[in-house]
Amino acid sequence: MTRSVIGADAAERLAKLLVANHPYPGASDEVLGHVLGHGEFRAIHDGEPLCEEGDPGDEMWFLVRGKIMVQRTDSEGVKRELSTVKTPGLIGHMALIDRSRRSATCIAIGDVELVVMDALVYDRLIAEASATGSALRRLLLSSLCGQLAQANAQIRKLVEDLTEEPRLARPKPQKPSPVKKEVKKWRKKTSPEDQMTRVAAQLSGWGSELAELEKLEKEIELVVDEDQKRRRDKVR
Amino acid sequence: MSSPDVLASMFVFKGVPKRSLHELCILAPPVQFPLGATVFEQGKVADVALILIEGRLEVEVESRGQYRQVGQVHPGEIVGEQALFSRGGERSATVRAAIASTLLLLSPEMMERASGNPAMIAIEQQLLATLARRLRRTNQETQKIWKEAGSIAAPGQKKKLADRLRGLFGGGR
Repeated sequence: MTRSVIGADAAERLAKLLVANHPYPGASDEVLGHVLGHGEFRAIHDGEPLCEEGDPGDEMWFLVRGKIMVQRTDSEGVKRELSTVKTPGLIGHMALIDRSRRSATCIAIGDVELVVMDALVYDRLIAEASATGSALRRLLLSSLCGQLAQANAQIRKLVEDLTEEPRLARPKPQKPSPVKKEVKKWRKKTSPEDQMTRVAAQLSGWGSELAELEKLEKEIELVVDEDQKRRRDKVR
Repeated sequence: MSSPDVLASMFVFKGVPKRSLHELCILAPPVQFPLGATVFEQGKVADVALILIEGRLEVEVESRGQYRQVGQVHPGEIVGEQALFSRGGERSATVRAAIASTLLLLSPEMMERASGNPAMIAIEQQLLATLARRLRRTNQETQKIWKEAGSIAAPGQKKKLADRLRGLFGGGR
């Protein structure tokens, strides 16, 4: 049986794009072209699935041309679109690295061309001391580092959303209440030492969380109320 | 015990010839950090990764002036690998020596020179497995936490979720 391989020009073009998107030490378009030469060229058509969620992972793909839609089933059993992978995307490599099952379903959008690397070739190259082996390992490392950096950026955004939303949603009072006025006065009277203590408390985390701030404010209000009560008692 | 001997006893270098470990120690001479010394500092330019040979490191993330410990590094583990694959990036965390520690510093230039060295291949394979594990864990935990956050309104509970998310920076450990 003859094996269809990617053309030299297409391999060179894809290798250049891969290196630009996933830089790594000692990167060479030529050597990466050889990596692609170890795979099989395959064309699939619009709507054709590349893999199904839960399938065992027995190959990975280098996207030469076209787009791949990535779907995952949510907790209610509905398939939801996660993302669209474009050239020069790497798909399905995680399942070969850790021998896990496919975490998503991948479907062709329009006509798609791929280089397919099966698990046998992957296992051989990933352990090789050759320049081709190094190129595959480092390309995958660079891709995973990029994915992890993106995940970190998303987490940062989630943390911001979680900690900022309540603050933004908090309604501003039309007029400051009498108690708030007193708090303001009390704050004005606070010594620089006390103010520094408050700043230190905020740096230790008090200032970063709404719940803690509200607790602190209530404590201040209690002190002010007691202070007012004492003054009233004194006048009487 | 010499550094190649210590490397030979580590799981990551199992089966790697002693000669290759010697070569690795010549290309990346072991560096010692005393207790409390800062190895990487958050926000500073990232130019090298490290593999811990002996000792223990602590990883901290600073947010709004507050430092939170997000994990520890044990012998055989690799940290700061982003530096090898994205030039000019910044450190996302601070790494300090929790006890006196010895490490190998891996630079992109050193990696180029060590291509094909079985010890370098072992490091790269270990890193692939580590990154895949971190990514899976991060994705699973983030989805779980975010789903919980959707049904929660109380700021106190949201704080707990935010803390759990912070613990995932860098893929957790």
